[in-house]
Amino acid sequence: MRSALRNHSLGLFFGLLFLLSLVGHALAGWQEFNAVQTAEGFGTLSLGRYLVSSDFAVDVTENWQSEYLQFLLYITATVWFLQRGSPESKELHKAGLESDEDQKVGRHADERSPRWAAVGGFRTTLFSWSLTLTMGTIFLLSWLAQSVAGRVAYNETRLERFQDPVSWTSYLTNADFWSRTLQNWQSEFLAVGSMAVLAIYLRQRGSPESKPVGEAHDATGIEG
Amino acid sequence: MRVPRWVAIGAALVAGMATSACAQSGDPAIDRAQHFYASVSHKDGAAACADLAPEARKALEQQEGKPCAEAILKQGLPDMVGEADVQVFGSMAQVTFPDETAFLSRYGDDWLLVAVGCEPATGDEPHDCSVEVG
Repeated sequence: MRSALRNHSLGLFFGLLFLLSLVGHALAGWQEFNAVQTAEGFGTLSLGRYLVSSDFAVDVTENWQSEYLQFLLYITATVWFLQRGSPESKELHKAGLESDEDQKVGRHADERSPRWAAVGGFRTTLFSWSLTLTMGTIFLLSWLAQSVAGRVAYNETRLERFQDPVSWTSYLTNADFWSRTLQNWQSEFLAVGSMAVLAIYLRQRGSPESKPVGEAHDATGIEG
Repeated sequence: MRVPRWVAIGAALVAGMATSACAQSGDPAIDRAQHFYASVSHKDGAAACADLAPEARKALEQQEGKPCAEAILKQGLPDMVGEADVQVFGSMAQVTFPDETAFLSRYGDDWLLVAVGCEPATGDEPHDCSVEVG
């Protein structure tokens, strides 16, 4: 039991952080929503109703979509793009999808390889892209949910100003949708880009996201 | 086949949010608006004021310098407003009649009017309402 916890501690740690943050976000968001409603003379919501409201949903999903987009792009961009000296980059001669031998695909699979890596054909192609496809699907669903919930929340604000509501297709070209979207994207791209570059010169002893402390600055594709 | 949890949550989220954006006739918001206009047409100012949100009542009394029940009957509100349509977005609703628009806010399980006597809006401009909060 103790060994299982230790061996899965990374996933469990972030799972716990996620749940605590979501609860904190829900409580703080609820308080803020009701404070604004009261100040403007409108009705307040119970916590239960706030949790299924578009206001909460759009705030959650706009962050989810950007996080999954960040990892989607990082997974795919690092297939072809390189960064000399970065542990986030592959070695400089390995740009691209690499050979079947390097990837242990088809007849190059060994006895411990997943079955779909060895069988060939459609299943191996699907499995070869399964991480990107899954992250991409979650990104698109989160972004779709953001657009649906965002339109409801935006229209709620418009009704509070006694303006007519807008349609979903109209909301897709609205500044509110793109402001919510791009404010998240820019921060994700900055964080990922700076991580790739800072890791050339800086180290964290013991982290696989860093090169070993004594590794040369120009050593590429080496993780600690 | 077992549906992954995140797919189920996502589908429920999208379905829930999508359905929250539209409502059928006979909606509590429509009932509230129709009760308000019926009270006005019957010259029952007290009943009409009970359909207004507290901040709307206060705003009307300050604007007119009279009790709500008296002031609401002097706003030139239409007696008959016809068939109603409603759009609900979160805690707000817009009830549209052929020649009249009203706005409501959710207070707990109830809907109360926050703006009435609203003229048709031009373009993206707000409706000009004879009684409104704020």
